[in-house]
Amino acid sequence: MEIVKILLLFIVGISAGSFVSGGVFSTLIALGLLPRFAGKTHTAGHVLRYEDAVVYGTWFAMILTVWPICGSILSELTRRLPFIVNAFFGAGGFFAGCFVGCMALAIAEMLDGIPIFARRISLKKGVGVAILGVAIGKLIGSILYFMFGIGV
Amino acid sequence: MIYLNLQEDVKLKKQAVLLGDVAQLTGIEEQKKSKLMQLELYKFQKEKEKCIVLGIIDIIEKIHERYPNEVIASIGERDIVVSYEPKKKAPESVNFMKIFLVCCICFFGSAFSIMAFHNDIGIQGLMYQLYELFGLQREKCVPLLEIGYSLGLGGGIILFYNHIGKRRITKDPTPIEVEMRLYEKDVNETIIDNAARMNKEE
Repeated sequence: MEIVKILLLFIVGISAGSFVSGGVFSTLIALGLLPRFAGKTHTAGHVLRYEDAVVYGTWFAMILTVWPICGSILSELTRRLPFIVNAFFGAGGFFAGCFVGCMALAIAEMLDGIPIFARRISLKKGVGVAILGVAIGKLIGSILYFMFGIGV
Repeated sequence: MIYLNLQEDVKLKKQAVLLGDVAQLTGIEEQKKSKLMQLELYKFQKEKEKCIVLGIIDIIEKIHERYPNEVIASIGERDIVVSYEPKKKAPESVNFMKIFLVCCICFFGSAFSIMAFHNDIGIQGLMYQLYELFGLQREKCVPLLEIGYSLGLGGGIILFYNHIGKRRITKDPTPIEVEMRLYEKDVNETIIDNAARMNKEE
């Protein structure tokens, strides 16, 4: 009986995992971040590598969050090699920040937030300044969040 | 009758834009065709990156200047974007750095988003509840739910992106490649629309 239950859970797990990957990553595709990165850097020929990076990043984070045991392995690693782990975290945080920042604006763009506002108040010039304002606002917001705990 | 098939998006390394660069022709004898192919449509003034929009009307007018009596049928695009890229190609090392940085952003970024998602749904608590639902204790039994979830997520995402490394699963293009083309089309369309609007305002 025990075995049957566990096998059922196994099936639940497989189905949940496949659907989560479909859902989360079709959102990512719909936002069109990677084409934008590739377009900006003129490296359209290497989009397959970017996809690979997304796949490996997901695996890495999935293992960290789904398996509690990895947390203890990581803290052991931090105790042994504090410098390398910290550098990894610093760089990783920076890159993740870039990605999330782009994603937030991509969502705003997909919902046409800025163009609609610009039309409403018939703004012709100064869209650049508005975007800069959004960026600075986000920076200040995340400083408030992380340093002063506002909004936690 | 000249049949004219314009390409939507043309990238050039030289300053002169010839008809042969932007279009395919058919319906006339070879000699005339090769002459027409050399017809200059536009010349970029400076050695600078720039893109222009050519309309079918401009092109027909240019052809009629030389062959006033030809009947022309356009079977391709109406407006096309021609961009001039006098690139000294960026050195390999710069290119490598760019690719490396974008790979890092993709790696850590997607790692962060899946963690944020797991955090959002509280996956640890959810898994405890699932074990409880089946009347099991999570600590005591084989973690098949976790194994299943990991396999499902890992396999699902490979299926979704349709490749592992360079090996493709089916011969369809991957979603990013599709999205890339869509993005290029959107950009071209915007350039053409902008040019049309500028002409109206003038």
